[in-house]
Amino acid sequence: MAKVSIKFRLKQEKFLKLNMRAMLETTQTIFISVFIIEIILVGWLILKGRNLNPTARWLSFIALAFIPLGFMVLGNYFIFENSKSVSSCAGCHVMQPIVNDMLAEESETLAAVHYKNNWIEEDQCYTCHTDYGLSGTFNAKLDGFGHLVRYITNAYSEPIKYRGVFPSNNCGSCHYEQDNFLEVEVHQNLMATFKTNAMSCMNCHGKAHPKDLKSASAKLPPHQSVAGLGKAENIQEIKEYILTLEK
Amino acid sequence: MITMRRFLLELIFAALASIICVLYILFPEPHLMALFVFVAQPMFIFTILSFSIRMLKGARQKKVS
Repeated sequence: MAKVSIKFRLKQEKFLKLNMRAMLETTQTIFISVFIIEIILVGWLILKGRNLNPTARWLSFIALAFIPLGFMVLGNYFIFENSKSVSSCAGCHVMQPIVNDMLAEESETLAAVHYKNNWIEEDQCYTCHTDYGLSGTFNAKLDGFGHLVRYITNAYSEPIKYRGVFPSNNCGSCHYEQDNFLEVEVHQNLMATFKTNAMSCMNCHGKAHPKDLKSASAKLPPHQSVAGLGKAENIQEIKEYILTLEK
Repeated sequence: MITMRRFLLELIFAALASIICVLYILFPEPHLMALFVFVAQPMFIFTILSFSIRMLKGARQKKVS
């Protein structure tokens, strides 16, 4: 099987992510438009719809079945996509010291180095903390659900700690194919160990996040904030990118 | 005859759940996400199920009579 170059894969991922941002923006617009229709319909049905004539029956079907079902589907889609962003992770105050460290110019932790060098363009937390494949995404969502429950019920203690062992394959999915990784003799010798997650990359390369977590408020750049996702400049970026593909 | 008064609770639930939904979409923070997942979604499910069951029952009664 032909080996797909890392550059092509990153290009592909960027294209998909930009599309996803535009879709999130569209989801927000659809939600607000449908919400206005729903409120008008509900108000009309409460005030005027005393008898269910055929028109009112159809309108009640739209207000009580079709729109609620649509809201549920779109709402869950929004949760799944939006929860990938750094701003979503920083939404819980316990995560803010970790995000602050990642955004700090002077920090030398693995996460900060990856961030300031733009090695991972978007959704940096999600990219590293999600195991690959469908089960990886499912497990990440399940973990996120657990985090949400613990956060809102205050069932956690600070500072938070990472449970388990970080899988080397999460690093490897980008690094295994890179020349500067393969050039290192130790990496070649330990490849089998990495692939079975028997050895952590952090044993040699240091911590991904700081050990001492000081509480501080996260200051996210505008392009990371949810309000700024998929705005006109991103749509323009998508168009420009499609043009480069066509060439 | 089926009147909308019978669906008042469903209509109120649908409106409330929609408000929570839109608030979460506009301000996606953990507490609103939890409200959407644990309050708005059950409200939507109740609304859809209750409406469907009542409409089906109404349709059956019509057939019998």
